[in-house]
Amino acid sequence: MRKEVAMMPDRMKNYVDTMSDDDVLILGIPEEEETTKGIISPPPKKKRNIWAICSIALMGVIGIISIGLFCVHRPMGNNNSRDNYVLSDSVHTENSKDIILENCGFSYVATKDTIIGKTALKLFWPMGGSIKLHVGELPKNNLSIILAARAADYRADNGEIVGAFVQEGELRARGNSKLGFCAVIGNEVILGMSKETPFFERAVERSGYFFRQYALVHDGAQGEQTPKGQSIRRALCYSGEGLFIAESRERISYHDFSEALIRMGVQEAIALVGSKEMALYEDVYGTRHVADLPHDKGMTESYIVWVKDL
Amino acid sequence: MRHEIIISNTTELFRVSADDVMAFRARGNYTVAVLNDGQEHVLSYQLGLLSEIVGEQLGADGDLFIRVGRSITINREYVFIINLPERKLELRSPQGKKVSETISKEALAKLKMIIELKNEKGGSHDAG
Repeated sequence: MRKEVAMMPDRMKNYVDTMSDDDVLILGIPEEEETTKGIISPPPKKKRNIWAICSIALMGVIGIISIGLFCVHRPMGNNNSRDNYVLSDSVHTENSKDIILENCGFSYVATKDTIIGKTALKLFWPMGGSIKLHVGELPKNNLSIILAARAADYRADNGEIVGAFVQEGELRARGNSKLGFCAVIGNEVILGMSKETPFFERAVERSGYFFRQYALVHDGAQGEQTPKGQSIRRALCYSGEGLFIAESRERISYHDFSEALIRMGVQEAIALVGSKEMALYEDVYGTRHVADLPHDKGMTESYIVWVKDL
Repeated sequence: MRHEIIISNTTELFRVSADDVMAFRARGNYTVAVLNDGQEHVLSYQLGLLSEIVGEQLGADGDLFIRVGRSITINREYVFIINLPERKLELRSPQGKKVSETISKEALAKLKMIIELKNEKGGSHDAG
């Protein structure tokens, strides 16, 4: 009965959903038996159904006109529609192999617990929203935020952000002691590992965001050298299926965390601040899970947040 | 297990009997498989693509599933209530699991007709 088990990534990339809310499609009908891609028009089963046929035909015409009007008025270049989450091709730069993907555009976080080898992980899949960086205490009451996690580290001595940090084009900190980076420029999110990257300048030029953290996974392999020691680990990850945050359920080393991510199929991952629970996420039922994290006074806290698209 | 659906990606394989699936519900770029025992499982594929794959895997028996609008693909065997004025579609499993979805009247009218026609033609789908 089964014809296909594995699904090709290309098929996901190229898939365009043409269904409308008014369409009905019976699956599995051979093409020769389909009329309009399996979308059912009422057959003339009895005379009394003429009115029903006319009504549905009329509704179809109205639907087509509505779709036409929608297409005419849709803002050009907006990639935030629900079904347009398309991963673009990998981009190779001189010093790094970076992954670019487009932002998604809707509003909750799917979570999933999984075990890779002996490592228990919790995954947070943001279902849309725009990625931004926030500096300072997290506005927990801001209901537009669906996911927030501490991003860059800060220095213990002066509280300043470690590594280059750009917020809406404004340079907040410099440094490249960590090789991993995340840049958000327009609708693109770029994860990579490189001491120097053009995406830093682009983030400044285009009012984007940029921060640095340890590169845990680069090109599907272990990233840079990381400190030893064990803690709750967290990372911003990219796999063939999109961008998500992974979190270890137990205190583990960066090395073991990276190994688990690689085994899971992660291609790029940079660390996020761990040790404590996820700052905030809104689940599929609209329940907001807000951690009671104390604000570190005098320290420059930074967060990567997913904000609902209006 | 006569109708088997296998959804696989780089990290996970999801295997289920088609008869146990009440519906696939769109959740943005993901799809939630709702099973008749109340379990739900998130699949990392869009509903449209997932529906195509399910249709291909089940072949001629794929007509067990009907995609109704953009938000849900249902197993017709679990259709319990189609209420046009309230735009409500409700599925119910023998185990008591219920799935409710608000659907456009146009799509519901078509679905109602499909179910009626199937019934007139000689009974429901053989889910055995």
